Amino acid sequence: MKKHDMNLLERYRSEQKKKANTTSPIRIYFILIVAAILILGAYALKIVIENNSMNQEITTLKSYIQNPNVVEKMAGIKKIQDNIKVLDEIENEVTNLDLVIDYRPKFDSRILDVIYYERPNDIKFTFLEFAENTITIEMTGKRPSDFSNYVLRLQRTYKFADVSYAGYTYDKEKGLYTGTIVCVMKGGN
Amino acid sequence: MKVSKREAFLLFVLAIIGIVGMMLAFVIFPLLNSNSTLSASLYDLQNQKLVIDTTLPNESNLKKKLDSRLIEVSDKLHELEAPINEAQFEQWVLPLTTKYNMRVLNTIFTEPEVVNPLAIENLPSQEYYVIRELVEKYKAVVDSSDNYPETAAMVLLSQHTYEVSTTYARFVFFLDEVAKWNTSIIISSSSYDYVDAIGTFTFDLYSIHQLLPSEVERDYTKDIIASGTGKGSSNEDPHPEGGK
Repeated sequence: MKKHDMNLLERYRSEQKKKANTTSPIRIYFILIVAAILILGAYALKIVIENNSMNQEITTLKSYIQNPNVVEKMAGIKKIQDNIKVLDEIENEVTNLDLVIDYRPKFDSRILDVIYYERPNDIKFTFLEFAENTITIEMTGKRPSDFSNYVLRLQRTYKFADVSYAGYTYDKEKGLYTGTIVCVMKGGN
Repeated sequence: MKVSKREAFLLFVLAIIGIVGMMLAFVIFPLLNSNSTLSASLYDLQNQKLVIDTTLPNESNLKKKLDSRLIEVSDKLHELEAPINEAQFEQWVLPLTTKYNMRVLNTIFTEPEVVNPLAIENLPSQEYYVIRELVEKYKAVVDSSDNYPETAAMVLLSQHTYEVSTTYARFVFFLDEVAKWNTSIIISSSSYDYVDAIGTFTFDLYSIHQLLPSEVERDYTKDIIASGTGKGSSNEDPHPEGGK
């Protein structure tokens, strides 16, 4: 025979107990919202702390960098570095300047000695001119061969870059030949 | 009012989105922005500090380097004369004309101009044609003009010309005296007229501004007395080893 339990109170209590053990969804939602707020808040706090720390470091660095002593010393050092650069530029600019000027042909007794020592006996100078590393000699000679002899003698000295003449003329009154020799000087003497 | 489970869930999602969105928009992102700005400034300042920390200890070395470079470069500049005016230049030349009893007939002084000095102004003219070029190429002839020193520097040049009455011997002695100066003052053109016994000298005065005063400063404060008759002794021989 089937037994029917008629104790409804027991059954009601058991259901209530079950209900009490189950968390309501609203509570869960609430907890989740609070958790999200806490997590974000913690993250924000972490950034705030980090920013504060950086701010402090920046303040310290600025006070060091902007210290009048440091600023003055750095300005002095920058001036020194700038001046060194200027000196380098000057040195770069004057490179070879003395070499170029020293290389320019010098008109003095050394070159005039050559011109005089190689001169044939009959040749007499009337005018001598030095300009733009060229010596122009106006002269007279007794023979037409004097000019070519003299030019060849000067060429054989290898003291000149070039020795040339453009002819000569016989002067009936003086009984002499007149002509002009052009000697192009080498540099570096 | 009773809220169903579905409605409660939707409200929850809405609340989460709203709270997270607002926190991100009004708290997190501004903080992150300020964080990145601060990071950049911090990085910049740290670099500045690094530069300062590495530069400051070198101050004395830099000073020493500057001093030594100043002397080096100044020595190079002293290879050329400092700018002088024509009156100062006269104090170089007139004592010499007086020494050799030259009579100064005429002078011309020019104002300084900026020039690029040339080692050689006038090269012998060369005629080139194809066969010559090929022959020289075959013989590997090197153009000697390639060997001349060159400079890109610009300097001051003033030219001073003197016409004097003198003997040829004294004309040559004067040229040698000027060559002995060993400065950037050189005779760029000169002439001698044997018939009238008149010589000319054109001085090229190359000069540049100096960093330091020269150790041997020329004294321009004293008056000089220049004179000369243009005569010379017949015994003077400018070319004693055979020249006439």
